[in-house]
Amino acid sequence: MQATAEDIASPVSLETKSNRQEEPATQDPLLAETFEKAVESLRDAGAISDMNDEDWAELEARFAERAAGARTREELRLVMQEMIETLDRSHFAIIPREAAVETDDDDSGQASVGLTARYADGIAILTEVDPGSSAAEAGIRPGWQVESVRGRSVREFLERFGEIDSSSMAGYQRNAGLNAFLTGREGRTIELELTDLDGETRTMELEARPREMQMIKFGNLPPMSVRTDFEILGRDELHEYGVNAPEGYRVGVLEFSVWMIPIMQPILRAVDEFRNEQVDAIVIDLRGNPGGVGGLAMGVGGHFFEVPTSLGTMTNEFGEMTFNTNPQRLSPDGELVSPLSTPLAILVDDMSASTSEIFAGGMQTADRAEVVGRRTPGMALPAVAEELPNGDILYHAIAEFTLPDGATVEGIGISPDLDVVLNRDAFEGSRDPDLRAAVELLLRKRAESDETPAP
Amino acid sequence: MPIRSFLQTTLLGCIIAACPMLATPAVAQQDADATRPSQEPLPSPREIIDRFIAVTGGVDAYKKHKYRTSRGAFEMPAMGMRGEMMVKQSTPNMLLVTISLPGIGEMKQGFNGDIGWSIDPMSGPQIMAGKQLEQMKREADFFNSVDILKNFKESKTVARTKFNDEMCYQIKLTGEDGVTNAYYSIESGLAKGSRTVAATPQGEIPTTTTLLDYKDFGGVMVPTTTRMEMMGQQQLVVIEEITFDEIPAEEFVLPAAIKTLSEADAKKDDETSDEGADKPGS
Repeated sequence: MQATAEDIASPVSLETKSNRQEEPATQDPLLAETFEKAVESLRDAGAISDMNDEDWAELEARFAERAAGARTREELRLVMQEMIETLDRSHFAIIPREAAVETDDDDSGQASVGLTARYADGIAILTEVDPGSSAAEAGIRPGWQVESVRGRSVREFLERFGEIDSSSMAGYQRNAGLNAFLTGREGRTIELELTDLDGETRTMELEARPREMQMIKFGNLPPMSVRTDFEILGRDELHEYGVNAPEGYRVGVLEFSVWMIPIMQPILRAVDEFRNEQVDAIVIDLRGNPGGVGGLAMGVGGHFFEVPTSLGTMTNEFGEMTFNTNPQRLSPDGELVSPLSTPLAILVDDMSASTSEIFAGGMQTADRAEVVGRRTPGMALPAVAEELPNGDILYHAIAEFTLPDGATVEGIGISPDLDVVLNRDAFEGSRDPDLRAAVELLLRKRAESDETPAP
Repeated sequence: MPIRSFLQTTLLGCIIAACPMLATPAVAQQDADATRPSQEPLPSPREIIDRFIAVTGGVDAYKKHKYRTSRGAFEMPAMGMRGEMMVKQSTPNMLLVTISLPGIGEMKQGFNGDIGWSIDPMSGPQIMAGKQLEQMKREADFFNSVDILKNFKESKTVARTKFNDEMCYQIKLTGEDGVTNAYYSIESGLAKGSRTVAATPQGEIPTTTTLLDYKDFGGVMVPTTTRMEMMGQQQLVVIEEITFDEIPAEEFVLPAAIKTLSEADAKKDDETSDEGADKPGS
């Protein structure tokens, strides 16, 4: 079940009236067992190096009385959520068991008007319009500003967060909440008030339609939607993005929505196509990609290194594991090929999290890719999703992660090689200023290495 | 159960690093873990292994079979993942392990007497080398349980110590790939587990394996539950059935992807050694 505008994007509040319980007089032993198990799992994971047994005991003691007073799952959930928030790290959450269950229910909230938005300097800017969506049909363009959704002021929603760093966990949640407004149940009409690039404000009603995505269930995690796209942009297509490319110059663009197993075969096909077509550059778009299976970074990275190369290391009190790429030496048809040495750029923004940060940061540190966009939120911890006795899921980190040069990502993020400021002006010359900036950067780099004058 | 190296890479690949909407701490192991000193001399590794063989069925029972197919379940409790597992083995050292997990698909690992390999949807095809290959060779030995001492260069009983809350003899086994400590119950003689440093493509990682729930299959007592811990996370294998029917040799043939890679590597090695042979003074 995905959060919709009707639910605020917080795992704790993903509950409905139907599952609120009557309060019993004494605590269900299952709740006590759940709290105990949660503390034990957090402590025994060995993921937080600056907490010792005494610190964990103190944390437990601080919340034990309130936990013992919880009479319902929801009450206990709130206590545990507050407890893990004191850890002040990403990848810690309590997921209600209802959210983690796969469902055939049409009321999945997967429908969308086809818009992606980002907070930018006090306003909400549309950064992407899905082709074929109701928003695209209505003529909406990237760069427009969202004023209100369903009569609710977006500015007021954004102001609730106060002054926060956009590239942070709080910034991530702000953007997540913003984008949740743009989803709804299939067939519903969503009223939007938008200001276009000419400054004209209009109200539009758009239909929420299902997105063409595959739903995947991975262990205890809630179902996630997966989509992988790739295309090759030639000179004419690049011109539409505002790029003045030389004759014959072509760029392969690969985008995937999350790091889950179904991306691997399409990525293999994409890389094969890029290889066969001998593209001049490749752009991997990880904007809005929240992460997923960490191990996939090694497989995807293997398309771009001839030899195993470290993307970083996860460490806990039990040992360490290095994310070494596995050189991908076979085409989809089983023919022997070499990993690509094509110039590479990776697009990131303040919603490129976790495995996206591991991959982008690792490739950047290994000098294999230019990272373009905006600093990522710094939410990169290896984690597991463990079922508690009461059926809720404790999502928690099991290790810390550092880049190949020892730098920490958690709480800091990946800083781009080229920062692209997101504002309405940026969309004047291009419907995708990040892509434009990335391609222009790769062209400049090519010119520098070839001593060929750039256009 | 020759699946340790497989499970290591599976676990590591499955670690989630997704947004929140959504094994012994040190590599260096001590020669003797716990322990209350005893006055009695420690039995030799040979004596411990001979006792293990005797209490689990005897040499004849072990050597009776040339093929073994084990079926069961594989689980990663911390991730809520559970799937099917099948292990096929043939003398002297042919091995094929297949695990299917929802959300991941099919993962395979094998050894054909020469080449150790793995294929999984996360990393793609890989050929083993170095210490990982050494460990695979040992695990693939059909009679590893009874011939374990011959698979290491050195062995020595170093302590009486607690392992999984049971007093055990600790045998320190030194191989080309490093040290493994194996634990055998003092009371029952059964193998209770091991601690080692597993060689993986992601580095060398301390791993603890615990063997539980012995049951009789074909005259041999086999641990039906294997619990592996690395990086603080557990993987479980539960064997539900073992059969001893003949397994066609084709089952152990290298998958096409691995064959292509191994032929390419062999060609590259030949070219490299030819280049060396061509150099002056060679």
